[in-house]
Amino acid sequence: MMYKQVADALKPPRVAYVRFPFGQPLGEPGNADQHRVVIEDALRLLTTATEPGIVDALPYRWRREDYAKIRSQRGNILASLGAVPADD
Amino acid sequence: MGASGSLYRPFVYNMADGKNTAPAAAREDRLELKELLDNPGSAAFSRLKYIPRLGYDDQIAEFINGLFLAAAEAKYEGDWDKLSDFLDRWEEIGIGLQFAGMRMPEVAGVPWAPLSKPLDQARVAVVTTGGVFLEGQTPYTERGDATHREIPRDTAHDQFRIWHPGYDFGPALQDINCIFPLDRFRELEAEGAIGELADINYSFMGLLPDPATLMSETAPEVGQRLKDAGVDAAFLAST
Repeated sequence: MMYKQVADALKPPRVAYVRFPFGQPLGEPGNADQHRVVIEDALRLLTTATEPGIVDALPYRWRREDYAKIRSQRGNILASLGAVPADD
Repeated sequence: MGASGSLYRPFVYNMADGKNTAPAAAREDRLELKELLDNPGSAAFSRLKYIPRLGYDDQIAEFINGLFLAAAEAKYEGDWDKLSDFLDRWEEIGIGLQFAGMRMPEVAGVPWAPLSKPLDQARVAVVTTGGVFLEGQTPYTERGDATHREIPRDTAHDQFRIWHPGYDFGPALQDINCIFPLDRFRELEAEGAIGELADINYSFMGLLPDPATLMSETAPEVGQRLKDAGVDAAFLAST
């Protein structure tokens, strides 16, 4: 989500909050690595959250990150989690 | 806004003789302090767009002075992160002021549905509030339109249209994945990270001054459709 205040107020079940420009919640046009980093973090939250109302403020600082490097350094975070649900 | 219709008034400084010649417009009308915030206010994409919510001269002066000092310090120290950090703080202040004026709907409790199977077996749908529709579908044309559009998973890029009065959708028209990442989810499907991407995905136009219809009709309807389609999780991108 783009507004932390709205997320805190409405409490959707799971929120990955990004401080990106409006209209670019996944990242810039053509930057697939940036999109993937955000999506993978959101999917990680999907599999690990054990209670509703969690707002995960992602740390990324727009263009001040090397998203390809982030991806290569952390590898397949979904696989390392086992991609299993945290709760039944 | 001054009579010129633009805030940009070139500062004329003659490097050769050191004379400062005021542009003509500056002699005719004086700039109001509040007008200094018109430029960030017109930047629909920027998280600074709510800075004009600063209502008092001393707040505006603090922002402008701080902006100058942060820029000067960043340049002197060669550390541009300082300027970015300054802007980050004021973005949050502006967004906070905007949020204070928003009417939040009453929501009873927080819905909770744990993922019922491993992610690599789950069917995932993509949903956006970015006002996406397809060529041939009824366009979004008015704020407050709580209807949805169905977007098939393999929609060709040239079929996407967008209308939303709350953000700059130029970047998303260049690459729809900025707000509606079907390509990325197809990649995750091919890699086996998710079970599959749903056949039908959904778009809303999120500028709803009154969300009553969304909450009572269209959102539950789409929720039911997703459930009927065997979707285990929805990835919702707001804009």
